[in-house]
Formats: sequence, structure tokens, C-alpha cells
Amino acid sequence: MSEITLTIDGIKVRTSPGSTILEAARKAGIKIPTLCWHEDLGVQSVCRLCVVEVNGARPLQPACSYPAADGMVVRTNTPAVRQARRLNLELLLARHPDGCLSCARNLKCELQQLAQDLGIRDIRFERMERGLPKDESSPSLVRDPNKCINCRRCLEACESVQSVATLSVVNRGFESVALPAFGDGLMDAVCVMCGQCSLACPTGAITERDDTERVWAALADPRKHVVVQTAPAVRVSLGEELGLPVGAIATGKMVAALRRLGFDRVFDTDFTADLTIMEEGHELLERMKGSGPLPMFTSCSPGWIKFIEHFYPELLPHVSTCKSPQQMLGALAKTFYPDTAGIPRENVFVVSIMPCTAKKFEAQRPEMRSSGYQDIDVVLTTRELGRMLREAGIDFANLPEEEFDPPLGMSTGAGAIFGATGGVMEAALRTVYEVVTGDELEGESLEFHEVRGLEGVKEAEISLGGSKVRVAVAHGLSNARKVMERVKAGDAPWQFIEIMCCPGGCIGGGGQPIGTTMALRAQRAAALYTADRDMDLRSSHKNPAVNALYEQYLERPLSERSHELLHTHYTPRRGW
Amino acid sequence: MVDDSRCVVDLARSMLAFFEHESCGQCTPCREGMPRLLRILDKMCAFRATAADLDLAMELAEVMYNSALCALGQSAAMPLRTIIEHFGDEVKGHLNGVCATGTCSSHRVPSERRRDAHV
Repeated sequence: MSEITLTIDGIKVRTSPGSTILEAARKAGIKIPTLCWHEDLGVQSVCRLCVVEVNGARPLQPACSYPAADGMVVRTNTPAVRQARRLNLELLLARHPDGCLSCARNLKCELQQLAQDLGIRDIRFERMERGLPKDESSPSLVRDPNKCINCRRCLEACESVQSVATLSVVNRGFESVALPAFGDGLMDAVCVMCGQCSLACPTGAITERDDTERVWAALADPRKHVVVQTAPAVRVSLGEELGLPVGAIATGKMVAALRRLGFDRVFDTDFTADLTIMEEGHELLERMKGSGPLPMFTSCSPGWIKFIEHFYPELLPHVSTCKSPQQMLGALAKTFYPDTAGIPRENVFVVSIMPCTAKKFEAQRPEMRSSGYQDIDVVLTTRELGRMLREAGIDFANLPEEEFDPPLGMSTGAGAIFGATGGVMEAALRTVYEVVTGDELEGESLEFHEVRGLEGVKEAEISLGGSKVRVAVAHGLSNARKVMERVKAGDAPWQFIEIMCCPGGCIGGGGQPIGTTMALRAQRAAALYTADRDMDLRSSHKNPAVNALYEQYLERPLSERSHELLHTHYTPRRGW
Repeated sequence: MVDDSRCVVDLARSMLAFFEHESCGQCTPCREGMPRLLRILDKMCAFRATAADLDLAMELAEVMYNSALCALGQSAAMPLRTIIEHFGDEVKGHLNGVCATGTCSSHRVPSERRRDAHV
């Protein structure tokens, strides 16, 4: 049967076999409340808020998992349905702290929204909070298990999407709650700090660590010269965070907003994305001549780096020694920049705006002190910058467009696409192709569409004149794991592999706006490719500021000074 | 063995304590509803429950029956529903400080859950 027809609230709905009542109801424009259901995650069916009446079935049935069938009659708005939804929600609310006004998720909380939608005005049960300690051990994420409502979405994100499984349900019955194993804090647990749990959580039980106060303090300190860098993915999500349409490219407004907050210089992580391509591209060519193991893995994504340190430490020699673009910029912003600008190094305070919670952890790594100080002082996520701009009363939508500051603010389209899965690979291919073949790529030929898109693992074979290079791209750590298993088994035909920790790449990072879905990720990625096409320069090796940096300071890719400032090493860690 | 010397409210309460202990915690009505129901029955045995408490217990029982994920959550409230149906006067007596068997008392510790018996 190609289509089935069922009746929902008196409306005939045609849908495909295998779809759920929830999917069929949405087609008919009927909104069924959900809490544990998320469009990108596996079905849990535990909150019991989406229950409906199905003719012939005795108790109420969950619309999120109950399969629609031909001839089925469903009612979504009967007294029994409303009573069950409201009472179940009341039970959850009686267990949840009453601190909405000071919660990071205030007005962005699905529990709060449901209480409003279902018209809860009175909670008839005595408040019984868990009284568990907050976990503030991680530099990236804060967990408040008292706000957990047992929806299990974080488990699904952590275990199924990322294959990390830091969180699991501890205890049974009334005492059950999602926690890291063995009572550990996130810092001691096997956690990659990616923050996908914070995007999956419908409440404020898992949030980014809020470091905005430290940035306000630095901005107010007259002795500090405060510089900021912005990651590629933030320019296509900050607008969304502040109410512009999804996929709005807000680069110029973002720069203007940062100046209005009081930053002394606004630099661009896209610049060091270009620099990464120069270093990593040459590293790849060296490895292809036999200087190190192949395939080489990219090293831009700190969640991925922590993942391989925990789960595949034996493969660490395959990881490029290049620091991430964030850390390259940090090292330059506290050496090259103050030394040439005549500012004492110790006065420079570097802030990063990242789509990422794992970057907060990365900045604190002991390796990341090339300047003699911690190279990056504070990392803020897209959400935190949004918070600062709202607090400062900056009318983002009506800001003029402004340009980044030289010299660390100049970039190419290749740097911009770093924010999407396949983007680092495409940027590398643009440069490697031209360096190896001597031919110039232009227009359409610059675009490597085979490495774009949201398929979990992508493969391509690129001919470089006489020779060929085979590459793979994976995003989301469960996909990275599949690729790693093949490398381990000796079944990897590739020379170069790009891995990004988060689904969709950095545009889907754990620090991005609440409400991130795969559909929104696709729109943000499309915006980055548009931004790339709008740039005059689209290949990293054509970035004049990067070339000037080599002439003035670094000499050449992989030079001694490059190694000192731009390369790093990794630490095997305990896995499961 | 249960005969007419055993209080039906107390009987339902001990059955519920068993179900509460067995709840896996996956679905909202069973995980959250069971301890709430038990607390109301605790209050009834201590003669501290009101008619509103009994109404809420009956609503909870119905929602658990209607919307719990598995048969455990769906059936846990059956004892309460049955005693209200068949021993309504005896149950309501507890709202007015009267236990027909004289085994419930106002001195009873309401938080007692009888967990030890099932461990």
C-alpha cells in the first residue's frame, strides 16, 4: 500500500505507511504536545504528554511512537487526553525547581512553554526537588540534575548521535536521573564537552558555562587591550540567536556589535582557518612523501580531538599536529600582534566567540600557552554573545555593516566554509590542487560538491594532475567512529580525513542557538556557502595577510616558528 | 491472608509501596505518580488526608491507568480504585479520623514506606 488514510479529530489524513500518529497529525496541522520527542533523535515515548485516544486501544497511546494505520480513528483532544497531559505535566513541574526567572533557559524552555500551552495555573502536588549537587567541574558545561525531567534526550544525543555515552540513567523509579557514571563530574568522566546534550535538553539541566562576567570585567579594565575573534559558523547563527531569519549572514553587523561592546580589535578566526590550510596542506604533502602516517586526520574540532584521545589513542599519530584555528589566532594575538603593534603581551586579553562548548576546554589545555600566557583567555558561545548583546541593549538588526580589523581579520571564502562539514576538506583541496598542479581553479571548479551536504560519511577522489588523492569526511562522532574502525582494520583507502565532532559541523555546534535541528543546520551551511561565493578571494593561499605573515614573521609553512606557535601534541586518555 | 480485621486503606498502601519500589522510572505517570499516591495513602492512614487529597488520588489513579508505559504503572493504582468501589465508606471514614478496623491511627508516622519488607 503506497498510502494509508486515517481520521484524526474528524479530519481525513493521508500518510505513508510506517509514519507515526504524531507525523500524520502534523500533516493535518494538528499540534500534539511533546516533550521527550525530538525530530532528530530516537523515540523515547516516556513523557506521556503526547497521548491520544485510538479507537480500539484501551489505554491512551503515545502519538510519537504509535504507528498510524489505514482506517484508524484518533482523537487528540478529549477530556481523558487533556487530563492525562495536564496531570503528567503537573507531576513534572512539582519536581522541577521554581527558578525560571533566573534560569539560563528562561523563555527558551520547552517545559515552561508546555506549562503555558496547557494552561497550568496550579500545581496540586507538594514540591519535591531532588536536592542533588550542581556539577560545575567542566570548563564547558554546567549540569543541574535538579532540573532534569527524565526525558532522556541528552542520553540519545550523547549515546546514539555521538557514541560517547557519558550520561546514563542512574537509579530507578522516583530516584532515577541522567548523570555521568560512577558519580563523576563531567571533567572526570569520559566526556568530549561537545555540548550536544545542552542542545538536546528541553530545560536548563545542562547548559554552557556562562563566562560573560569575565568578559565584561576585561572590557571594563583600562589596562587590558581586549581583542576578539569570531568563528566561521557564528556569522550565520548570531543573527538567528538575535531574532533574524535562520541562515541570515550577519558578519558585518556582528563586527559592529563587538565594537559597540568595547572590544579594541575585532579579528576573524577565518584568517587562521586560512593559515591552518597552509600548515595542514603542507603537512599532508609532507606525509604523502613519507614523513608521517596516512591517512591524516584534521585537528580543528576540539570535541573530536578529545574523542580520539579517549577512544582511539593508538591513532593519535594520524592527527594533524596543527592547532585549531581558534588556538592559532590566540597564539598570534599574544605574540605577533602585540610585538608588532607595540603593546605589552601581558596586557592583551583574547576572547573567542565560538559555536562550541568544547572550545572552552581546548583553551584551558596546558599545551595552549605558546605566548607564555594562556593564549585564549575566555571562550564565549554564540548563545553567550547573544546574551551580552541583549544586556547591552544593542539593536542588532539595525546595526551598520563594519569590517574586521587588520591584520588578523582578513580572510577568504575557504576560511568561511570551515564552519560546515566538508568545509575544511574543500578548503584544503582548493589549495592542495593549485599547489600540486599549478593550475588555477576558478568559479564553479573551486567548489567540491562531493564533500558538501549532511550525509554522515562522504568520500571523494580528486585527481591532482597525474596522481589522485582519496578523501573522507565525517561529522557527528558516531560517524567518526565508523571511519576510525575502518582505519584501525587497515581498510581505509583515504589519504586525508576530515572529522567534525558535531552533526553538520560547527554550524551545529553545542554552543549554537537553542532549538538547533538538522533542518536548521542545513540552512546555516547553505548560508556559509553563499558567504564563500560572495568573497573575492576563495582560496587560503591567496590570502594576502596570510602571505604577509609568512614573509614578516613565520618564514614559511612548517617553519620552526610555525611549529612553536601553530602546532601542538595530544594526550592519550582513559576510555570506557 | 486478608480478612475483615485488616484495613483496606492500609492494604492498598502496602500494595502500592511494592509497586513504587518496582517502578523502573522511565515514564512520567508511574515514576512521579506512584510516590505521590503513596503519600496520600500515608496521610489517609494517619487521618490527615482531606477530601481534596482523595479526589487527587483518584485522578492520579485514572491517569496512571490511562497513560503509563507498561502494565506495572497501569495496574498499580487498581487496588486504590477497587477499595473505593467496594469499600467506599471504610475509605472515606479515614477522612474523618475513623478506621473501621481500628488499625490506623493518628500517631502513625506518615512517611513510613515499608520498603524494608521488599528489599
